[in-house]
Amino acid sequence: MNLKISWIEINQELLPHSDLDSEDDLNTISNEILEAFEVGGYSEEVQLDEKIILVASTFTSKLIGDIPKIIKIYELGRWGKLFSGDTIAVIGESITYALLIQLFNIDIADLVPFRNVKYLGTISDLAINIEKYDKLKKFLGADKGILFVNARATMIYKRSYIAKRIAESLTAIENVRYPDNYGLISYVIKYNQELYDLCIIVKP
Amino acid sequence: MSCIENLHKAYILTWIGDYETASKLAKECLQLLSDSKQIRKKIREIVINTDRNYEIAKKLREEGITTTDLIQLALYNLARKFSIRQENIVEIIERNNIKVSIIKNSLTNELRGYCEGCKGYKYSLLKKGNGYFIVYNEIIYAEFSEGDINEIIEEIIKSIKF
Repeated sequence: MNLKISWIEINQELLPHSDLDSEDDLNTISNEILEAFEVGGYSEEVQLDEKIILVASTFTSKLIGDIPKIIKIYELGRWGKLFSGDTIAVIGESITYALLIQLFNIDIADLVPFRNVKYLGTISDLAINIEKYDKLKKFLGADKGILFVNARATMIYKRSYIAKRIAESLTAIENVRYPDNYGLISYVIKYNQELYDLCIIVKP
Repeated sequence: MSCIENLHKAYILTWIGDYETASKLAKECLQLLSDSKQIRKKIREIVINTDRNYEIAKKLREEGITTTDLIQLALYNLARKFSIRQENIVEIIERNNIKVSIIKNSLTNELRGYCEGCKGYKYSLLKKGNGYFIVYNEIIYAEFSEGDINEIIEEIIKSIKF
């Protein structure tokens, strides 16, 4: 499966953390990120192995089977109907986990997704020890720390909706990441009839 | 931390339907992480007394709640989730270090399995049946429409010796 990845990196200093900052900062940043995605396009193209997606779907939060087929239908578009939110969430999770396995050789033994306990509000979907993976160390330019991953996906490209969700994800990831770890928000989006993964990296 | 290993294993075991073992593993974690309740209480207080969502991160650190504390709390709650259900939902077939369950319907059979300590990646069509199997480290998955179940399990186990 062909996936276009758009890497966007932001520094934590851009994000609001105290009462000296304002809520608008967050909205501005989310909108800037989306604009960078729309104008800048993708930075990398990956051929995801459907078998790995199937394996990765073991760790998703909802009981949905046959994920590679569902992703194909998602790719083809509105099949007369739309997918429900749960299915879309599982698509986002599966693609994100498979991408991490394929790009950075993440060992599945390290996958303990926290999506099921995300209601706590202080945890991301995944936490990866950067030290264990050379590719990840090189990519992030870091020797140690934890990479917190949030996975998201959307059925229809609605700008204001996506910007709002990005702002939400940024706030959620800051709760656990701040001040010296790394964050990744992976947003699977269908844009111009093609499958994209908008990957936002938050660096300390 | 052994709890991460335990919960990773529990994750796969709940996927194949072996709730009995999963809940045992989760309960070990609950004991190890029992001080998480205090962390939860402290976080709740901070969250209630914070005006805006984006201020929570900094406030938590100022009050001494670290990233490790937050991961511990998440592990604790996940363990609690896995520990509730104790009886298996399907029959679990055990062979050496492999656990397998099968979901049947009149069109296809889906085989899900856990292989303790296995490393490697293999995909192949089944010889003893009409379908395929995937083995990726400890996860086994197969789909087939016909064939003897026992023979297929044997075939997969034989091929796992990477």
